[in-house]
This record gives sequence, structure tokens and C-alpha cells, in this order.
Amino acid sequence: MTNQYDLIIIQKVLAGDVQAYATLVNHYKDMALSLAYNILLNREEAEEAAQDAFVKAYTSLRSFKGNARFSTWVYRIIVNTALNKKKTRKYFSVELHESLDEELPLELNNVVITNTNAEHKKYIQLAMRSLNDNERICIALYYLNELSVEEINELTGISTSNIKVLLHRARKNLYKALHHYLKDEITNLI
Amino acid sequence: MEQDKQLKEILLKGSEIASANFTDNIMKRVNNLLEKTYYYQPLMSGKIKKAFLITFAGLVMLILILCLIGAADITFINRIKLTQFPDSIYHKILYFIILFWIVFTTNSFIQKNKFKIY
Repeated sequence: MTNQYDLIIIQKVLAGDVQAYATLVNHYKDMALSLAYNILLNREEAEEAAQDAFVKAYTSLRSFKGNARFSTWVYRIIVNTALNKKKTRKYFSVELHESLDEELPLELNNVVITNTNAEHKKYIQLAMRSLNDNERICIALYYLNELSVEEINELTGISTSNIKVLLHRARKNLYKALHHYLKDEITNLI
Repeated sequence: MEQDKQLKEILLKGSEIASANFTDNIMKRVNNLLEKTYYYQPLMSGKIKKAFLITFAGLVMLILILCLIGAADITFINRIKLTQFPDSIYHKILYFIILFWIVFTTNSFIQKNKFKIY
């Protein structure tokens, strides 16, 4: 979906065709969820944050001027919503990492790895978890959301040189973690 | 470049997929927003408004009573010197005041302090 097509749909929505917004949501929902997940590291919270972000995007759709891509604009809302959620979680709720860590054991040396997609998904997510927050967000934005370094800089406020360093370090750590978790299985993934 | 491609493929395999009712939930919330009517808090609270009205009405009544009982010897009334305007200007002012109150009352009746966003 090109930015031009996005703009046509936005015009339709602003003209009163509310249901046209579903097309935009359908197109960006998986990327939005992945981004929120890589910030919050919790499936339910990520889905909630992504939904909140899409509703926020709808209510402020008139303020979208079309200078940037719609995807970048939405991702910015998602990043802000997810980070706010993470902040409030820190103050008001129980530590979720503990329960998640139980759910996905980090020590996998003794675990027999079966060749299923679900297992691969789990281990890739574990590898992502081994990165720090900034590295993970940069990797997600760069590879999953296909944003350029400049766009990531605009969105996160991290300097371009720092983003390049983070990406380089994240790639290295990610490969190391993937080799650790998946061993020879990594070749089957590609 | 090739490594980037491979890493992207791997990461896509590990990415989360939105639930089946993801879009429906959003559209439900969007439609709820559209149906919702927003009420704004008036700038002036009801109590202050009432106090102003009572004071205003009290003053009007007081001046009216003073005029009716012909208390011409009250000093402040003696000091008031009306500027002499031609009759036409008085008529214009009177029409303006009548029209203002008609429009104001009709508008208040229609709006009833309620504003709808959508």
C-alpha cells in the first residue's frame, strides 16, 4: 500500500466514510502489534496499546498533514502509547517480566528444539528479549516496520549515529542469541 | 545487504500477528466515539450565574422602586444628567435592545448549553 493510496483512504475517512478506516487498520495492524510488542514484551498489553493508538490516530486524523508517510505517523503514536503504558505499568502494576520469564525459560540448553513454527517464533522472541530496550526498538523499526535511520531518528529522538551503533550492536547480539537458542536450526529459518 | 534480508525474514517469523477481532474492536470503539455526545462544562458555574442575575434583578427593582415613589430628592438621582439625544437614536437603541434579547433568548433555548462535536 503506497502513501498515495493511504492518503486517498484518509480523505475518504475525513469525508465521512468511517468504515474506510478499517482498510488502514487491516494493513498496518500486524506491524503495529509487532512494534508495541517489542516495547512492552507482553502480547495482551501490546494488543491493547496498538488498539488505543489506532483510535488515537483516528481522532487526530485531521492533524495528519501528509508530509510524512502515514505509517511513520501511526508508528509514532504507537511508540508513544506503548512507552506510556510501560511507564504506568512500572508504577502501578506487578512486575510482568517475572511471569513472562517463567512462561519462556531463558535457559534452553536442555530443551529439545522441535522444528515447528511456533517454537521458532518463541525462540526468535527470546533472542529479541536479550537485546536492551533501545536496541530492540531500533531493530523492530528498521527491519519489521521498514523505517529508514532518519525516520527512526525523527520518531524516537535518538541521533542517527547512535541509531547506527545500536543497530550494529543489536544485529551482533541478535545473531549471537539466535545461534545460542537455535543452534543449527537458524539455517532452516532463512 | 543479504544479511539484512535474512535477518528481516527471521524477525518476521518471530513477529506477533494481530488477533482476528483486532480491526472489529477498533471500529467498534471508533463508532462509539462517533455516537458519543460531548458536554462542555460552562465557563461560569451555575451559582455565580444565579448570584449575578439576582444582584442585577435587585438593582433594577431598586432603581424602579425609587423612580416610582418619586424619590427625587435622593442625591445620586439628582446628579444624573441625561444627555439629550434625538428621538431616532432612542428608537434605534430600544430596537437593538429588544432584538438582542429576542436573539439571545432564542439562542439559549435552542442551545440549552449543549454543544455537539460531530
